[in-house]
Amino acid sequence: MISHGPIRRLLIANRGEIAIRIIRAARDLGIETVVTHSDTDRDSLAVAMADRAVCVGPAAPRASYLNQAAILTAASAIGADAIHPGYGFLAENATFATAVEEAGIRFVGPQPDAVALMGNKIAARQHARRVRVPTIPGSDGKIDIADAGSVAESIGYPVILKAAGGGGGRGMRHVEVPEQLESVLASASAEASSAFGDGSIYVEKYLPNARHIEIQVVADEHGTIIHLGERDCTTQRRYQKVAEEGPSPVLNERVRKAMGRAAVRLCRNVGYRGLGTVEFLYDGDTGNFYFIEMNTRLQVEHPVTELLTGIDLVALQLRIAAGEPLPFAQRDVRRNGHAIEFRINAEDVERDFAPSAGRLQEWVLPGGPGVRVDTHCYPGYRVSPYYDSLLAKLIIWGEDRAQAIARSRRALQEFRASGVPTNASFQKWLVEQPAFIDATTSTRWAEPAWARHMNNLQTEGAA
Amino acid sequence: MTDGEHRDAHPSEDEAVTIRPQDISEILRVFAESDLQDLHLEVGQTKIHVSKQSGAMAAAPPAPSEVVPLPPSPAAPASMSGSQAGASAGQPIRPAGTASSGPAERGSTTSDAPRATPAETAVTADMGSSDDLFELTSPLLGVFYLRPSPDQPPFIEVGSEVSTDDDVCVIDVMKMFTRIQAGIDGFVEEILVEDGQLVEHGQLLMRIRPR
Repeated sequence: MISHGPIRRLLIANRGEIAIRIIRAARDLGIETVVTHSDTDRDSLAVAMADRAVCVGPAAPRASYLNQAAILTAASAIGADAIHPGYGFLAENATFATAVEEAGIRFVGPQPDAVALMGNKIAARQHARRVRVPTIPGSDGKIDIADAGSVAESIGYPVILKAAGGGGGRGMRHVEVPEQLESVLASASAEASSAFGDGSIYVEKYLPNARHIEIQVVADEHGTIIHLGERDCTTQRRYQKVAEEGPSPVLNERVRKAMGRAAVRLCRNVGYRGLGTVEFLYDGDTGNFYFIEMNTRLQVEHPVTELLTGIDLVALQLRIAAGEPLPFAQRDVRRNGHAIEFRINAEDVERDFAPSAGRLQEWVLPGGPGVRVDTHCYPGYRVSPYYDSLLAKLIIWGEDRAQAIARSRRALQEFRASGVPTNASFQKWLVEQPAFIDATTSTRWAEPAWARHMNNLQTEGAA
Repeated sequence: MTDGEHRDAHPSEDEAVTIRPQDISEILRVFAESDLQDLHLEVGQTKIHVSKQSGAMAAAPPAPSEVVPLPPSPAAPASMSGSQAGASAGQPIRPAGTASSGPAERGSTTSDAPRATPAETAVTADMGSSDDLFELTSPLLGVFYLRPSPDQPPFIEVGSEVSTDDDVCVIDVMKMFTRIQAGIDGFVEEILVEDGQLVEHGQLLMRIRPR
């Protein structure tokens, strides 16, 4: 059992905007910060902002941000009493969480068992069914070529193939007709194997008109588990979120409460600790919601919930890790207004959103009422090809959704970046779309709608 | 990636200006056969000083007479051992026949001055820092030890002679021990870290004076 008491020195095993986010929360709590970083991130803002920085390896993630031995050695040598893994990298790695605790250091996250359970998407599905959280009709476990056909038939086409070993959209493929099943299964398994070291695939019924709605949960070490409401992450491209908002523009109070209760129930039966996000698909046609997966970590889009509730979620993580009880109860949680987050990625929209590296030249951030920007970038910053393409999150708050959208247009208009292509033009397009404004979108809306838009631009250009 | 389109006009710190060993040999050969008495050549962080006074190691900088700046060579694949970062402009070579206004001990540069043979030419090649020393950096993060194990003598101490493949220290990462080799023939000049100290990837461990 790890000793409780205040955290004095926190090691941040991550990079980019989230490392800065964690440093800020630690600063607010008077906690000393150490960031482990790669060679190529020496000039990063996180390294400049932390009280101390330790270079753990060269650029490649495997040798640096995924280098458990180096990170643990650094943590022990510098006397860190807690490690915050951020998101991605080692954040949902149960082996790492175990090793951290065995080294006598607190892992800012849930117990390794909960990480392992929810990290295995099949086991998580089975757990959900046991505690009466609705799941999408699907296979009981992983499928192989032999039984894939019959399982898919019994579920009913179209189906979606998903990786058991991890989430985030990787290894996901949908299959419209039986003839495609075998080849799509092979490619999904290959992608899953490469992403998670586990090629196991399970299958679910595909809901073409669903919205992605997730519940933010938080639990302390004393058995209190509550939820902080939902985020609607329906705007996606290739199963990757590009914009998130809260409250969801389509939920009624009854469904909202039911989802919140289901999310808490899921966590209660595994003795959960810390922050977590329970993801659902919501079928507007039937009003049903279905559990898809749980992320046992801080989410990229956590600022949406922060702006609605006024709660600093990262500081809360640190306080929970220090053994403090939650400072509020479920009935104390209030949400105010509407918040939307836009991810600005280093992607070239002219080349099908190809991730791009290079040096930022112009970099001008929006501001003013209701505008928050989380970023690690600055003019002259070199965007590395080794890491994900997220450059900044623009998070906009308004008294209601209409004002949030209006302010989003202002903020996106003010934002300027050059030197590296960004998806800003996509985001500017998004906030003008009637389907987005009327909230009639689904998780598969954005790609074809944008493709039609690009097509129209080309035709107009040629005319 | 679109990186290439967005490069600055000036080389960044990761585009080091270097000179190849075969270029240096060629320059020395030309120098030896020329009327020049002294040659100071600086490309990136490589500095070469050659003098035709037998036995003399002239350390004074060249006089500011008519100078021809050496344009930096394009980034060469081979770099001398040791750290070669940074891009500084080449130091001028004094052309033959220029009247010397330098100190008298440098001798004249007139055409009837005796030509030195390569054997009489004293050469110091600077491989990294201005102290002629080779810098050994750690390829990984871990705990640095000078001894193979606590009860054994250290691999090296200041003054020890080392060969390129000799073990000079061991880095411990969660009980996985990696031995680090000297990387050059020479003498250990300075050890910059202590036994049991955490060292980072890329951290300077010791300086070795090349033989």
